[in-house]
Amino acid sequence: MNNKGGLFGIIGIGFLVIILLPIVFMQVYSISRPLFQVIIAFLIMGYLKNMGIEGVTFWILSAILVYFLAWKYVEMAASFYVLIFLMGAGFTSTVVWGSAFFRGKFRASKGHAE
Amino acid sequence: MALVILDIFGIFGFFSDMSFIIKIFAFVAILGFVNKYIQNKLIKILMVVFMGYFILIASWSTFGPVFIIYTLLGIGVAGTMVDLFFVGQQVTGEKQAEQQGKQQNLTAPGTTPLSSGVDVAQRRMNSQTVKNPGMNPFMRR
Repeated sequence: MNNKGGLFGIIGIGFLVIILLPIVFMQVYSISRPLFQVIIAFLIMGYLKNMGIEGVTFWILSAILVYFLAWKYVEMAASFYVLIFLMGAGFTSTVVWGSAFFRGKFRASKGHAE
Repeated sequence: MALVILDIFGIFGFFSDMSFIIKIFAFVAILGFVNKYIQNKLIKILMVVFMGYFILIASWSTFGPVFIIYTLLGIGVAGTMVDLFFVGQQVTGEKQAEQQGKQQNLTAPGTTPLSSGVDVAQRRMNSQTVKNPGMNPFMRR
């Protein structure tokens, strides 16, 4: 990591902020917790419908996944959902290249100061 | 004994839950595959039973990691990794350039890494004296 000038550390911090964002939201705004739960539940049911699963199998699998992902491990599922959403929108490239850009700017300004 | 102490924090419960969730997702993937390609209901059920047993029970230690990698590739982790490789390469190039610069400084003592512009000014003065000999202080009247 030091060989890369701490760049991967900066990128890791960027990803950590993205992952921790929904958890902080859930702690600060209590309404965001049920909101995330509803979003994840609909996401699971939509995924199962998209896979062509119907009838009793659909409701059983939905119940199991909703219990685990939208109830028991909602923080983890919300973080993963936000990460996947931003990854789909191409935001992770912005984090990676933005970290490199701002690191370069910081190093350049430090060099001028010296 | 150590495993029992670790289980106080519920680590094994968490991992077993995650393994179960991944198995459910793999089962959903099998159902989706079978629904997509097979029309006959009997063959569909037989295929689900066969694939479910083979993938989820008999050789889950092989198919579990493969399914996780398949899922990660599906959500676009490869693109992020390519970005990381490009950025890492760029930083390595910067490091090499810095090292080369340091080596050049060692071979030419007294020079600064940042140009102060003195050498450029001297070169310009020399070129002007060649064009206009009157500028040379030794050639003045």
